[in-house]
Amino acid sequence: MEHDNKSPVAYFPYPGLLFLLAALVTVLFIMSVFWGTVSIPAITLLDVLFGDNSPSAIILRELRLPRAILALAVGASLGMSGAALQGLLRNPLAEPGLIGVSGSAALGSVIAFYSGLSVTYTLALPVGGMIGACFSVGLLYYLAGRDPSILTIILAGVAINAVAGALTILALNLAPNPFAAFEVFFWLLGSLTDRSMKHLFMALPFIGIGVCFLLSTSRGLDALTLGEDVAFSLGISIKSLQARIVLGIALAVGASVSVAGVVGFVGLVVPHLLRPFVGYRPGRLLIPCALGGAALTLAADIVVRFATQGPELQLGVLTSLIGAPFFLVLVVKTRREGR
Amino acid sequence: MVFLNSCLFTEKIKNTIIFVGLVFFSSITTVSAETNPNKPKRIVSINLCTDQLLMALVETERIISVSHLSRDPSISSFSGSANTLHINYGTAEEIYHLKPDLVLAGEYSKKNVVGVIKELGLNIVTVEVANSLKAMRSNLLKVAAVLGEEAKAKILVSKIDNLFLSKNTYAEKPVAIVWRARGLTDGRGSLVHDLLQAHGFRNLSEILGRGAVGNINLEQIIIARPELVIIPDPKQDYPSLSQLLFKHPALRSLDRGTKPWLRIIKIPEWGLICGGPQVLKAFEVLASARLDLLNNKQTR
Repeated sequence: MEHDNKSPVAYFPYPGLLFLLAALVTVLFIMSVFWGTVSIPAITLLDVLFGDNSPSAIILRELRLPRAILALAVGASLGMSGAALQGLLRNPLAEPGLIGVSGSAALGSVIAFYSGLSVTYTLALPVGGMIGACFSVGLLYYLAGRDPSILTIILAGVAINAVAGALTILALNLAPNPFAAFEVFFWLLGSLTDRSMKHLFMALPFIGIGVCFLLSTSRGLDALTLGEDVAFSLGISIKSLQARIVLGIALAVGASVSVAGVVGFVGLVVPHLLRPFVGYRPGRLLIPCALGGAALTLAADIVVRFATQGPELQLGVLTSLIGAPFFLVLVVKTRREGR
Repeated sequence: MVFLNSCLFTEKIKNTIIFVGLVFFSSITTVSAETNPNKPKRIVSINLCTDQLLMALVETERIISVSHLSRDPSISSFSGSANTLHINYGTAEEIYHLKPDLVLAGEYSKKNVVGVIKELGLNIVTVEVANSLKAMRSNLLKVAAVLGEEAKAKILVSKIDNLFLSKNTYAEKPVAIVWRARGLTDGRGSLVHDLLQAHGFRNLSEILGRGAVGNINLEQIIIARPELVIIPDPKQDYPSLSQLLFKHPALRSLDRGTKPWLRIIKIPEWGLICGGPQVLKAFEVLASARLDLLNNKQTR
């Protein structure tokens, strides 16, 4: 498959790429733990290990660590989901946020939360998110799977987003809490501030399973670039491939949104940046995108802490500010290529 | 789409902020109505804060409708009696149908509704935010004049004065903070600030340089180590995203532990939301917390 290496950077060694990205993620992770509104000396790490109850230790253990791990997990699942979705639909514009997967996951979480279900069953929150996400990916594939042109995908995304948005408002209007709409407005902008280990344990298992599902599609996605018939003749079961991707995205994105809100555009920006480095092979793109997504989200989550004077900037606002111009350029580019 | 949606949302937010953050201590200044020699007998209130002032000053027979939020026991001090009253959702149409002789609205009540009600020729009085004890006090008297209840108001005001103006004799000034949903705090220029000062507390929000309404996150609270953190106590236990903050293990781990430098107390949310006689409740809670703190220091 060496013939589709269009770009000179395609010869960038794959292990080298993975190593660089992993190093970047590690550095950002450490920065995320030690940098914040209050700076903490690295020596405190020892206190944390010995179970100290000093303020710094508590901040590290109960606030910074879950926050950094969540940023890593959420970023990885968004980056990888974007890459997988784009591979499946063979379209670089498919992104969990844009096509309404995140919005639907948010709807599921909002219903699980404000109906009081998540008070009784903690797991109702991620499960609600995953059901919402699963429903929207399925719907998208039904609407655009056969004809994955830009227009169909974007229109399907607009429709799904509109329905999810309307139903979310409906759910909020019916919620007993008079401040529900206000709270969710901020939550929909995405944030990792003041999350606890509880959120981590709630979301991480599902994100892990989702990522495993997606990783298993690597070979299938590569084969799919040659068309469904060729992929079939190579021994790829298209049905199983689709099912694993839909399920993987639903688990990873659904669980992510239920703890972090909607963090948009990560799944669009990261695959686009990294695609030339893997020779445009969607299967190979998965792991670099997970690492890249984690790096972008960790970096953005550090920037929001310092970007404003008063309350922290919302994470999703920052990623959207970065991602929206990207999206515009991509639309123009894809249209030109399509002609 | 996203941007359009967010534009539409800002209007909603503006309205919601009234209840959530800014108008925690709002009270009344008369804007359009003059002192009424004939007491109004068909009064409608479309704002939670004016609801509570009305309930405190006027007998229920004269009230024909209060806002729907007044039935929520966590933010309304009279939710019990509100259940028997007619409630409105603050739309011009329903207010007009009630044929009121006086409408009370908040400073941040929907501007379009207030405008339409004025155009329809109804007598409407809008309410301003009281950012201090002084403002709350004088506004209470002013609205009482509109309602023709000056005598009642004078009793209430003297009660408040006695509590607030009695000089506190505490030599030590521990640091305290009123910490609300989403980490909002009240600094200098707010009624809560006056309340804390009256009890001989230093306000952490002021120390950290926040304005009348500011934001402080959990990390800052843990590092600053205030001796008292006052959080709202939601009577109604509906699920709330912004209240999850108060259940964070990092905050609770400070409350217990071997070195409890931080004490967390709960005040009914309605005692902090609006500037009215119900503030006296918050006053009581704070006073006992102050005594507790003093006793703990002595026994330690």
